[in-house]
Amino acid sequence: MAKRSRVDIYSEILEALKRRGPTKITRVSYAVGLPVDRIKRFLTDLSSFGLVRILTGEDTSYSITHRGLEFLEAYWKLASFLKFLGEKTTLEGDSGEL
Amino acid sequence: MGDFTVPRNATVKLTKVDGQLHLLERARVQAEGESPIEISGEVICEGDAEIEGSLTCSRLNVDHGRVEISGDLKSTGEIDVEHGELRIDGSLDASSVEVDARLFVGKSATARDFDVGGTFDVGGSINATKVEVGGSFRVEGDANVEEIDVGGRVEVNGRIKCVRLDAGGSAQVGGGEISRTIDVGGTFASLKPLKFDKIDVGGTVTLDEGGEGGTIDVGGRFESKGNLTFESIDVGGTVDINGNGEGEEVDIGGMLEVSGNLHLKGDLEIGGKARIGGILKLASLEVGGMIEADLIEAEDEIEVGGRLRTTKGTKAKTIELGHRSEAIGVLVGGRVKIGDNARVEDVYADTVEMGERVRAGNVYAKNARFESRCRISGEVRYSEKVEAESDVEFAKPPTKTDNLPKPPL
Repeated sequence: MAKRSRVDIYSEILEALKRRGPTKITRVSYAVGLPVDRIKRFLTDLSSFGLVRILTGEDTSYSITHRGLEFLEAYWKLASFLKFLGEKTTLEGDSGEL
Repeated sequence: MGDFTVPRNATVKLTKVDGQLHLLERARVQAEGESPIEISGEVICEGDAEIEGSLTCSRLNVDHGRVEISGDLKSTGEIDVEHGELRIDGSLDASSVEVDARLFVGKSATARDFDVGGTFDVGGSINATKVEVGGSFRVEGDANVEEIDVGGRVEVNGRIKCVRLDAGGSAQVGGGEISRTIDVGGTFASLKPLKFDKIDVGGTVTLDEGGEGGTIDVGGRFESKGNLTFESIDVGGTVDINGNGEGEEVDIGGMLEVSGNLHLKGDLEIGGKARIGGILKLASLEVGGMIEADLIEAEDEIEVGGRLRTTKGTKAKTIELGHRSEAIGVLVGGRVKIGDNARVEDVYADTVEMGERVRAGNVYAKNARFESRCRISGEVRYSEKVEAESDVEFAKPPTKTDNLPKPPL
């Protein structure tokens, strides 16, 4: 598996939150496969970007915001285009003209 | 025997317990003989535990530990692993399963629902109503699951039969049928032919041996490496069909490439480019940029803003080319309208209207009109009327005939 970038990890955290609703940090840690202390730093970043909401109470939990959902949608689209461009920048015989 | 407790670090041999089995930290239980250990009540594990052999129980509860079972596990009730993981080398059969971290099943897995926080790995096949996994879900054999919801990656190496597949990251299946929605954030791939109703993918879709289904809605790129039957395709980026395509309608923001024929009962709209290796048959066509095909036949209208290129020609009730557009290949239509500054080759039509400064080859029409500064390099034959501005350049003077040449299409 290729090394995940910080943005890849952000997206995996957001996916976990999108699916489960308010989620405890341990569950996010299991889903993303990173230790709790590192996940906590990422969640703090995401919260400061407005992509994640921290829900304080008896047990702190985290949920995705509407901006987080928008980020996630844009991330997947861009990731696929970047992958496509990396594989094939032009079609065979494509003159590039219109 | 009533309730039974195995102390810390202890190893015991068991055949049957009429009551609860309580395993303390690092307890080990061994089955006597080949038969499974039968526990009539609940099995509770506090910390790590190991069971050598198969186990049947009414419920399994694990707290903060890793539990390993070398045989099969059958539970009439729930399996609940909090802050821990469960490894079963044999098969698993339970009413429902919830594991916080990791679940590994060496052979087949059966339950009404599975909820795994981290990774779920099945060495055989799986049967379930619902599978929810936070991280990744891998099945070596077939998956017969109504609903799959995974945050990260789904990998089913055998055939899939499911109603709904929802994955945040990526999903790969070995063909089969997904009767309702495939909803994947990143990439989706099927290694064998796939039947589907709806594909809704944010990133990329690849069908390695084609497929048969309903609507395809992809944000990025869609690729079918085999024949594809569909109702509609709506793709923001690019579509690549290596084979023939057959469906109702197609709307693509970027680029379409079909190596074989494309037959549509409805319309094709493309913002960018389209390249069809074979014949394109459809009701109507609208291309903002460029289209290439061996032959294009539309029942109604063709409207091209940029470039239209065919080997055998283009035929439609109405053909309309935009300003500065270019058509390579013969055009055959009831009405053919060419925008200013466009370039076309031969045209066969009932009515031809050419805008200013259009360049054309031969023109055969009942009626033709040429705006200012058109230049016709071939011949013009008409059966009813020709209207031309005085500065139109004809290589040969237009000739009236009762028998117009038969269109090649």
